[in-house]
Amino acid sequence: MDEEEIIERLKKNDVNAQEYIIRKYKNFLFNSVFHVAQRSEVAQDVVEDTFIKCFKKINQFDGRSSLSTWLYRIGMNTLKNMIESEGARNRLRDRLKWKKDVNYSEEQFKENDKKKQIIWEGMKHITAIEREAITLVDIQGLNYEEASELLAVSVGTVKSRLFRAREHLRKEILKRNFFEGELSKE
Amino acid sequence: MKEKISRYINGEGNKEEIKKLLKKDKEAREYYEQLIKMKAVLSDMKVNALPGTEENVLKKMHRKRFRVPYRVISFAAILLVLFLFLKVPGLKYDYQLESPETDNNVRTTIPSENEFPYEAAPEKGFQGESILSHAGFEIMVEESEKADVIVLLAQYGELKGGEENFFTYTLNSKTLPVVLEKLEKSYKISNINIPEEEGTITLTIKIESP
Repeated sequence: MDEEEIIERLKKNDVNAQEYIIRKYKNFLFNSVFHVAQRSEVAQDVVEDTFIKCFKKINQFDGRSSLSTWLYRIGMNTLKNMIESEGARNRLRDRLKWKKDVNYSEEQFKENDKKKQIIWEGMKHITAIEREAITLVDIQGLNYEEASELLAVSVGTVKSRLFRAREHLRKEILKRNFFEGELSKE
Repeated sequence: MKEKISRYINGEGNKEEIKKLLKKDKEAREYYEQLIKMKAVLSDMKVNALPGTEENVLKKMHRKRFRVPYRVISFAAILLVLFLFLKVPGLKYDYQLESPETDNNVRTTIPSENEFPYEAAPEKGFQGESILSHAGFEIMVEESEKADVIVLLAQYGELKGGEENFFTYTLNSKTLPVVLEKLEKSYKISNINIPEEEGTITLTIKIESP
């Protein structure tokens, strides 16, 4: 199915098309939100809300960007709104501003994978914008152009943002001995 | 230097230039290796959405909601009221009872001007309200008529109590119509409901002193 056909079917509230889109983009969206929010339950809520918003507002989709870009932006706006909302403010704002030390307890990673844990901890100490850049390029494997479309910024901005993010993260994991001893051996 | 290496990792920049740099600059080489190791771990940190995402979204999306427009509810409420208060057979309210000929429970007489003695209808039980909600009714009788009325009531009713200027009689479903018929000739009496067979109603006579 090409994207145009899918969109037409979504506009007709076709359940099969909706299921197809969820299957196709759920992990991409979840990864994007999860590494920025650093909470799996929040990420899951955001992903589900994003799809519901997408399906309800599909008639407003004008095709100027790809469906994945549209979904990503809805997802990030949903996350932002959730952070700003009264209920989530206390829980998430602190986390995003790195004021509280949050215990690593996400079930998504293996507990004995020290390297991942160090990276995860280091990610808490960089900004949300930097996390977003690293998530898209280094975790999701997008190229600069794809990332720039999703972030709605120029390619140059993505490059410099990614460089700062990597540098920031490198310093954080360096403090935690990521590159020393056994941990540095592949 | 660091920014060039960062871009080189993503396939950007002059490869030959970077290779030369990495060969001769130990710090650059170390930085490059660190980024490579970091990126290798990061690229392995992909996660999956929780199972059941499709079901959750589709369930929320296609949840059936009971939506009845406000207008429909209002209209239905009006119809219900009309049906209950105006259309139910056998249920009649005082404001519906206009003609004494059509309803046995209503007695309405309008005395002529010359009729003797005319008394305004007593307050209770005579104002279009159901007698069912009142214990009885009363009429005012002039002193000169007192004896006749008392004789009438003594004949059909049962004296319940009284003093010098008023008497209360109890009437039942059989005696009340007879008494009312006689009293109607001289008094305006309306909207008196005949009590049930077992029930009684009280009639109080107040004597009007000359």
